[in-house]
Amino acid sequence: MALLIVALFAIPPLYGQFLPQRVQNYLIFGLPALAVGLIAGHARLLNIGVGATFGVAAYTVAIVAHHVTFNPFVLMVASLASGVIVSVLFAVYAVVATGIEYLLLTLLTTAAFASLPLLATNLTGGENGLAIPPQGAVVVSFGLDPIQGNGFYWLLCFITVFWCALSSYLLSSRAGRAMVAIGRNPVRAAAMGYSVHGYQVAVTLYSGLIAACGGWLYAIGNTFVSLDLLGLTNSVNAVLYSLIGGVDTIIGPLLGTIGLRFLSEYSGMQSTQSQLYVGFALLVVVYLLPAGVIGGLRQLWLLRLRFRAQGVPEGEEPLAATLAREGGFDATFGGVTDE
Amino acid sequence: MGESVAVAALNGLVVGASLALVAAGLSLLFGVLGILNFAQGDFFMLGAYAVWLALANGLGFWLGVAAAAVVVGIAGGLGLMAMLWPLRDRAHALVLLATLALSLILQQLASNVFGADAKPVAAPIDARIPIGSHDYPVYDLVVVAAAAIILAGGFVFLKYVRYGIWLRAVAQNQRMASVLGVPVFRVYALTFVISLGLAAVAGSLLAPLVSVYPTVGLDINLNAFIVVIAGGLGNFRGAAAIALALGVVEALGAIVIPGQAVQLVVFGFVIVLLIVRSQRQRVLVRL
Repeated sequence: MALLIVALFAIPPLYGQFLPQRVQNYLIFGLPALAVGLIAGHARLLNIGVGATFGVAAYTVAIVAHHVTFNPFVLMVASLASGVIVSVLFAVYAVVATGIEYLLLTLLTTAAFASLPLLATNLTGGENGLAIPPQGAVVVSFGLDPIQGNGFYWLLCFITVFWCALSSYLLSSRAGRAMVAIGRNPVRAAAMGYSVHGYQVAVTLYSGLIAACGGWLYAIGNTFVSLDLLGLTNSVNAVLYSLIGGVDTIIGPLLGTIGLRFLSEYSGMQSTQSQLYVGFALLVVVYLLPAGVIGGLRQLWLLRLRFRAQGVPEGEEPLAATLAREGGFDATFGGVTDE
Repeated sequence: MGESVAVAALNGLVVGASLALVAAGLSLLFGVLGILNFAQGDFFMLGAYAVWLALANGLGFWLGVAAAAVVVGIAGGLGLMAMLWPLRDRAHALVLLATLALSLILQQLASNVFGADAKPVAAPIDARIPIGSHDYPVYDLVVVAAAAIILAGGFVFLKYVRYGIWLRAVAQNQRMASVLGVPVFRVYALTFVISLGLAAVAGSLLAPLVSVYPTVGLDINLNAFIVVIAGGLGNFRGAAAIALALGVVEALGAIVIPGQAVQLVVFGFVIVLLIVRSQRQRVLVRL
C-alpha cells in the first residue's frame, strides 16, 4: 500500500505533464466510486445516486464562483454542504426503503436532478454548461493551477489518500464493524441493540461527503461544469467502477475507475468500438470476477490459504475459520447480497 | 386552445400507448423473475430496426411488425434468458450489470450494422383526419388502437389462458407452483419472450414517429421504469394504465409549463408513491 502511495505521488510527475493530467481525472472520478463502495459494498445499500451528489457539488462551485465569490474556502464549504444536503435525501430513502425500492428511489432522484439545470438556465447555463470566469480559474483551486505544474495533482493525491485512510480506519473501528454487520444482517444487528437506521444515515452522509468532495475537485480542476455531470450515466459509471474494482474494498473502486476509464479512453482512441469493449469487460466481470478484480484476487489468496491449511495439524484453527477471518469472504457479489 | 389540447392529448395517448407496451413487458419480467432489465429499451430499438429492414427489403410494414415481435421476442427472449439464467440466484447488482452490458453491446452493434444516423421510416397509412384546423395522422390513432388490442390480449392471456395463469402462479410462489406441476422453466422462457416481444412491437409501431437510431430506446427505457414503479412493480394492468396517464399528463402539462418541469413533477410524484409503497410492496403479477 505504501508503495502504491509513493508511486501515486512521485511517478506521474516524473513522466511530464500528460500523465498527471490523466491520473488527476481518474482520481476525481474515483472518489464517487469509493463512495459507492462504502455505501453499497459495506452498508449494502445499492445507491445509484452518488453521481447526483457529485454533480450538485460541482454545479455549486460553478454557480457560486460565477455569481458570488472566487474565495476557495467558501467554494469548498458550499460545495461539500450542497453534496451533504443531497445525501440527506438518500439517507431518508435508506430509512424508508430497502432493496430494489431503495435502488429505484436513488435512480429516480438522480434522473430528477439531471433535469434541474434545464429549468434554471440563467443560473446553470442550461445545455451550454457553466464555466468559472477566467479571472477566477486559478483562484478557486487555492492558486494551484490544474494545468501547469504538479501542485494541484499533489493536492488531489493527498485528498484521495486522506479519504482512503479515513475510510479504512472507520471501517476497522467498532462503529465501522457495526455498520458492516448491519449491512449483512440488519435484523440481527437491531436485535443486538445497534441503531440500524442511525448507522445507515451516517454512512450515507459520509459517502455523500466523499462524492461531493469529488464534485468540488472536478469543478475547480476543470473550471467548467455541464449537464453530463448530473446525468444518469455519470451515476451509473460510479457504480460500475466500484463493482468492477471490488465494491467491498477501499482500493477496489479506485482501481476500477482507473481500469475502466483507461480502457474506455484507450479503446476510444484506437477505434470507435469503446462501448463494445466496455460492455464485454462488464460481462467478464459479471461471469468470471463477480466479486470484482480485488475480490477475485482475494479469492485467489484464500485458495492459497486453503492449500496451506491442508497441512495444518489437528487442533489448530479450522480452514473455515481461517477463510472467514482472513477475508470476510461470503462468496457473494462484491458484498452486495440479497439477504 | 381547445384544439391544441385535443391534439396534445392525442399525442400523449400515442406516446403512452407505446410506453405501455414496453412497461408491461418490463413489469412482467420483474413480476415473474425479479429482473429489472436495463436493456429493455434496446429491444425496442431492435423492433424499430426490424421494421426499417422489412421496408428496405420491400416486405411491407406490417410484416416488419410481425417479424419484430416473433424474431426479437423469441431470439432476444431466449438469448436474454440464457444470459441471465446463471445469475438467477445471485445478487440484483449482477443482473443489473449484465443487462447494462448487454445494452451497451446492442447499441454499439446496431451502430456498426446500421450506422449511427437516424433512419426515417414511412408510416403505412398516409391518411389524416381533421381536428379543427389540424390534420391529425390516422396512423397515430392506429398505434393507440394496436397497443390497446395487444394489451387487452395480454390481459386475457394472463387471466384465462393456462400459461397465463401459470405465469401468475409462478410469480406468486415459484416453489409451490413447481410442486403443483407447473412447468416453471417453460413459464420463465415464455415470460422472456413475451416481455421482449412487447418491447419490439412497441419499437416497430413507433418507428415511423421517432425515426430509428441506435439509442432510440434510452429515453423510453427511463420512462418505462417510471411507469413500472408507479404502476406497482410486477403489476401488468397498473403499468399499462400509468403509461397512458403519463403520456397524456406529460403532453398536456407541456402546454402550460416547460417540459422539464412536467418531468420533474412526475419524478416527484413517483418518488413519493414509491416511498409510500415501499414498506408494503409485494412482488406479484397482478391484474
